[in-house]
Amino acid sequence: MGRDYSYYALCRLLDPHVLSTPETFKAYPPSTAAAISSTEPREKWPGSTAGPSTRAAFPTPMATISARATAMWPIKHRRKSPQEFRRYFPPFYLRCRLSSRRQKDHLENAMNTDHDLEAASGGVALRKGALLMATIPVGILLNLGLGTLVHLLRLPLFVDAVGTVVVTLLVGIPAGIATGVLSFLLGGLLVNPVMPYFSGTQAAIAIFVGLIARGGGFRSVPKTILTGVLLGVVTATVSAPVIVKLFGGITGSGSGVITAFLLASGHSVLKSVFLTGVSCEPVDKALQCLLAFWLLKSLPRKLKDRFANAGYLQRNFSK
Amino acid sequence: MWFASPPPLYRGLAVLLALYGAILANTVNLLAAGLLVVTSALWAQGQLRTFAKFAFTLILPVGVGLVAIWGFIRQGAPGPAAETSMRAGLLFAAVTTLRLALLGAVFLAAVVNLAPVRLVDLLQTFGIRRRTLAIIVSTLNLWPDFRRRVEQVFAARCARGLMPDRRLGTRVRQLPYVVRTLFVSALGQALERADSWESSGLIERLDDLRNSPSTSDYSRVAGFVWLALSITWGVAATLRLFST
Repeated sequence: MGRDYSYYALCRLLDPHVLSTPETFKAYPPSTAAAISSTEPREKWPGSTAGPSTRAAFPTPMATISARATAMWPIKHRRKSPQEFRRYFPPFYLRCRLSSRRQKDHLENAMNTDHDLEAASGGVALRKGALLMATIPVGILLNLGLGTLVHLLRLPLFVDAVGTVVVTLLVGIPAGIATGVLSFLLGGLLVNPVMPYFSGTQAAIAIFVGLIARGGGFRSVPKTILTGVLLGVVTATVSAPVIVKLFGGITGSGSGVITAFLLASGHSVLKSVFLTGVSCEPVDKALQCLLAFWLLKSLPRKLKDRFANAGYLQRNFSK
Repeated sequence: MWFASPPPLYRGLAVLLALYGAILANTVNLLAAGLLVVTSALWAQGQLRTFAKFAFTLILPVGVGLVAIWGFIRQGAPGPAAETSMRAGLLFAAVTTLRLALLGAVFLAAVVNLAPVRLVDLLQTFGIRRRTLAIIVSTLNLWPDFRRRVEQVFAARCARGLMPDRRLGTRVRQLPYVVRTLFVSALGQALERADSWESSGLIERLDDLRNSPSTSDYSRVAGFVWLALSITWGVAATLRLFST
């Protein structure tokens, strides 16, 4: 049928009376036929008088990485195993659409010079941005949802940093800090107006979790519990001055009873708050780290693959 | 109402000054005066009920705890040079409680009652753009979506006979299953949505929202009133701090 047949079939849908047979397509004026079979934008068609499009450039099917990858993938690699295929084309890039001409050029250069796809796609920023936009809201909701529930039950726990831990492990320290700080700022809007004053503690949690996760602190359950206990000491240290300065030592949560007991026994307010934090926070943070561990462990493989090079998932959850 | 709609820049500056003053203020009279002004503003905006809920559920327990500890158990204010008497302890408890109430009230009056479009405008005025803005907006939109999805998960578990009833205790016991299901599904959907936003250039176009609320929606007079009140408050708190 030849290369032109698909264009003929398309045009026949538009003009069924004129294009009754494939041969009639050849009778089309050359400029019209070229315009139909061109993958260039309208303003670049031969003989076109249309000015540059003012609409956002949406990628055509041929601009998708999957289509280009299929077309340009060297034949010698086509008989490789699925693992080999994944190495060349990670799942994210197979599904990702190019958003601009620049990224398309980057990709073409990468394919032609046989470089690693990820490094040269120019899509690292796109990928990271998309991951951030996806994970941070989910982390914020985890923080706020669980934190509010525990606060309403007046338990001597907080459970308000699960989202921060999860996002730090998935995407990295800056994203974890953003999740923690934003969740406490938004918590001020939605849950409790004094939450924003504890934003610094959330930043400390993200930094500590990120540093520990770099060394594989979430590889097993015992390591995760140890990380949680250490995290508890860090958060108790960071939040004690805020509790003393802002709340006078009492936050209205269940741990206030312990602070009251320590104050009654003659300790200074800072020491009482710190000791209360050290006694409650490790349990709370170990629980939170275990919850984050369980959530990430149960993540489907398809989702895990998308965070392969972003955070600390591979260092801690790969077998 | 005109008083509730100062321009974003005036609103932001007024909030910062009010918070600064609230942290510095150290006398019951000054804090009570500040709280009275902010409560009036909340009343004018129709937010008094929200503030009452905040005061009863959060401030009151803290206040009672502070009075019990500093007024009756320790009978004195904290600090090495502080006076040790029941009066000093009660005074410290009152100042701390009032300060907390004021900090919460300022946040309620200035930010909580904002309509989403105005919140976006306020954030853009202070330089929050593109991805950060998209994250904040999508979080605010995800909250009701999350609640709806929780109900769907409960309904599905009920239909499969995995959840005998919908009482509070049963719901709490079902929490681990709900959290995992919600997390995985929300993350998957959020990734797809973020991909499509990026590829369609929506993030770049988000900045166009800047001109969407008309400037006539804001009252410059309200802005001046807010700013004047917060400057007065900040100066009074600073002077009072140095005079003591």
